[in-house]
Amino acid sequence: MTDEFRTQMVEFLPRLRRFAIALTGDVDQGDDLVQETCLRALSRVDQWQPGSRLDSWMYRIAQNLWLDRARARRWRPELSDPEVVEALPGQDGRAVVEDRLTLQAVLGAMTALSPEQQVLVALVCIDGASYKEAAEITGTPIGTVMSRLARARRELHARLEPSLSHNRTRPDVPAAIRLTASKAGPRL
Amino acid sequence: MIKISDAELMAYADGVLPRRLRPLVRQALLRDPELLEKLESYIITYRGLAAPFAQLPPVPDRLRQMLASGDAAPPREGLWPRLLRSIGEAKSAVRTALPARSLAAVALFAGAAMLASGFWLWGLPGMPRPADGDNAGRLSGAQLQRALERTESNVAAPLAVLKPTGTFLSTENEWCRQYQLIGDAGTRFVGVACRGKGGAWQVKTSALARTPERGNGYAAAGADAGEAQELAGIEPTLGKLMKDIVLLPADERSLIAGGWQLPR
Repeated sequence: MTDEFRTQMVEFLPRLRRFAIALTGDVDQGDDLVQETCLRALSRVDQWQPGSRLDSWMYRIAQNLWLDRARARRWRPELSDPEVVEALPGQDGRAVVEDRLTLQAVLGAMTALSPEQQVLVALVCIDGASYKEAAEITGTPIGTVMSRLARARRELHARLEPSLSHNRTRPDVPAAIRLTASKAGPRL
Repeated sequence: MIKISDAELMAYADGVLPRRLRPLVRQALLRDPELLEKLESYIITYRGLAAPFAQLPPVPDRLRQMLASGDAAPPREGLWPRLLRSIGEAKSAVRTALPARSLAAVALFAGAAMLASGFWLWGLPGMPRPADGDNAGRLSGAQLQRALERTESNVAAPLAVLKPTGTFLSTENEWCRQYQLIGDAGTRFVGVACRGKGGAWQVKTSALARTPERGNGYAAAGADAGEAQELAGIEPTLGKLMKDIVLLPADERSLIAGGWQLPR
């Protein structure tokens, strides 16, 4: 294994982990998925082209492991265990409690989505991948990615609504319009 | 009136809609409150989802060590090294906190009862003798069927006669379990049993473990050379049987709890 490969894997680990936890809805299960993904990647290091993007390659591996499992067993992650969320380290105070609740709410809401939708939400909304990158990773046409993702996000928002309405200030939509409209060029 | 699709509205919310289309979306938003509601959902789900993940605990050492250590798999490795490593990783990933009514107790009870009666597996009708290598036979002890059926791998149950050490899907689309077996005078055997369509576990191979027993009756965990040596007797059959790497603990738990459902 080249040093470049190993170094990139270590650097990518936090993002892969966030992706895996978003899919499984659980920290421990997410770590297990990361471990399995890394083992699979290590055993197939010869299939990776140096110079190509390691993150996309490993996302594909993680995604395939996850989808195989989810389809085979009709598996849906259990709602995030409050104890898992409670165990998260962080500062004291109200902000931390709110953050924990928010993470729990996000993970819980993710479980309502199909495995394919979860992958797209984790890639685009949590990791910040573009639609095009998500299309390449999932092997899905970009139009399909966008329509699936749009449906998933509507459903996700509906699931999150109780948590959001509990303690929030409603976004200033016109301001949001100005903000999104003023952003620099598209990255479709 | 131009209809704005959900995908276009989402792209607008994400700031990636082509500039030439943005005025159209803005016009539509001004006259359609429903679109505004949708836009809000896209904005929230794009910008609001990543932040909570910043509160995750640090990456566990086991994951970093796995990548940082120099024992990473070489290219084009065979199945056997992967098996050994995955068993080792699965063992290391076993959670310490087991439920009070852990099914390990079943194996513990069965093991203690059999030890007390001098009732050894290979004395049972149809049970292959450990030296029989690949000769398959049917486990006739109900307790041992239960141990294979219900006990998680690598659970600390030192008095158990049979301890599963890994679970995998076979090339024949059956769930199989590798196990260790304790004979008299601490003699250890290793084997593989697979779950047939009727739900009965059938021994596919068994052999004498080639390294002496240590500690509590089980060899130290780890995909080291010693383990490779002790499993050498069952390697040929195992290599043919294994379709993929050994299940991780969480998956195995789900599999046991779900009644050993096969993937479709």
